[in-house]
Amino acid sequence: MYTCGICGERANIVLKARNLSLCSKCFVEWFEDNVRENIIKWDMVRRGDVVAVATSGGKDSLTTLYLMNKMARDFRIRVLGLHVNEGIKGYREFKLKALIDFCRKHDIELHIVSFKEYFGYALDEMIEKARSRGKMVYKPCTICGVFRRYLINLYARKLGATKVATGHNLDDEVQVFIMNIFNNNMMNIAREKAVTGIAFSPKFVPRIKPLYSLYEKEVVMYAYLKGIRTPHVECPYVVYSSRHLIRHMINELEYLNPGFKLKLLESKEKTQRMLSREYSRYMVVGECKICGEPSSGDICKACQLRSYLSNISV
Amino acid sequence: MVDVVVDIFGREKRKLSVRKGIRIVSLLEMLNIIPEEVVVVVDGEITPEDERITRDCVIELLPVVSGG
Repeated sequence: MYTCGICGERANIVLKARNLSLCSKCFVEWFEDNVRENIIKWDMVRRGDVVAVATSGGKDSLTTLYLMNKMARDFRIRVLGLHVNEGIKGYREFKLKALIDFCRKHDIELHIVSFKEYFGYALDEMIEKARSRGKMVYKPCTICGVFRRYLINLYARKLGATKVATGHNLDDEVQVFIMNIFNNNMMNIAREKAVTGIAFSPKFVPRIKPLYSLYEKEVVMYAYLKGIRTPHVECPYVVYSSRHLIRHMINELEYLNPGFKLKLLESKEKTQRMLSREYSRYMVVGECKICGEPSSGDICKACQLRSYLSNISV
Repeated sequence: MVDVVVDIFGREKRKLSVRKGIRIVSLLEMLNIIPEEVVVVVDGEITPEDERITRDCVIELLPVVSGG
């Protein structure tokens, strides 16, 4: 039997990586304290900020939305939800319903934008088009990620948001770090932090990650204890993602060596600090010559993809 | 032996008879599940994977790895 490291009662949650056992009640407080510490440590918000929480309807973003809304009064910020409907049948409708119900229950302002509405095609239609022409040059996750980030930044700015909060947790951070190493993408390692984009461009709304230091498993436990529910449906395009393999590999290593991910996060932060000096001159972002949105090149990735998709649809 | 109902990610339920005192982690191994990728809930309470199963119960496995 385990004993809670805070109150001394019976513990039912064991965080091996942190050498800590907790009861459910103390775990909830511990989790919220960690999120609060992240926000303060990384200077994520300032009084008067308008925070758009990019919310898919999954457990991480719902937890982020719940907590930012809960802490809004303490930090004197305004919080709203921003959802991008990419249009994946058999998946999106379930997650979106969970999100709408959640926002209604917690009285949270929610804004919804869609690929179909803005780009003219849902993601399913884009993929089908590419497949039918035998020109699957880009993976679905690449198309989805580029267009999603584009719309989140654009609409957050339109809504007057001064920060975009995302549900990225510790697992996401270390997975991306490993993927960047595998792809020899040092520039991205230099950019990835708990807060990104402060000096990128005036059109870029800085992104914050309140769950940055928390394991994905801890997020699931917190969401369960707080009654934050989301349907267990899987994106049908997940099979195309190489991240899937890296994620399992890291999880196996974490199971065999508890604390492995925490060490990886430390390595990531040290590497990021070293590389940010070397790459600092590339950190300022210009504007896309076509759409005027922030871009590191002359033409932004969203416009490049739009051009690719319109060419194959001819 | 004890009877357990395992609810796997809300997608399927399996009824199993297992040896009394078996650790949850052994059950996860039988199901080919990495413990780091699930949260185990026994009769409504989050439970450590190295706990033993000593009575009939319902085990809910919550997925940690999201697919979206």
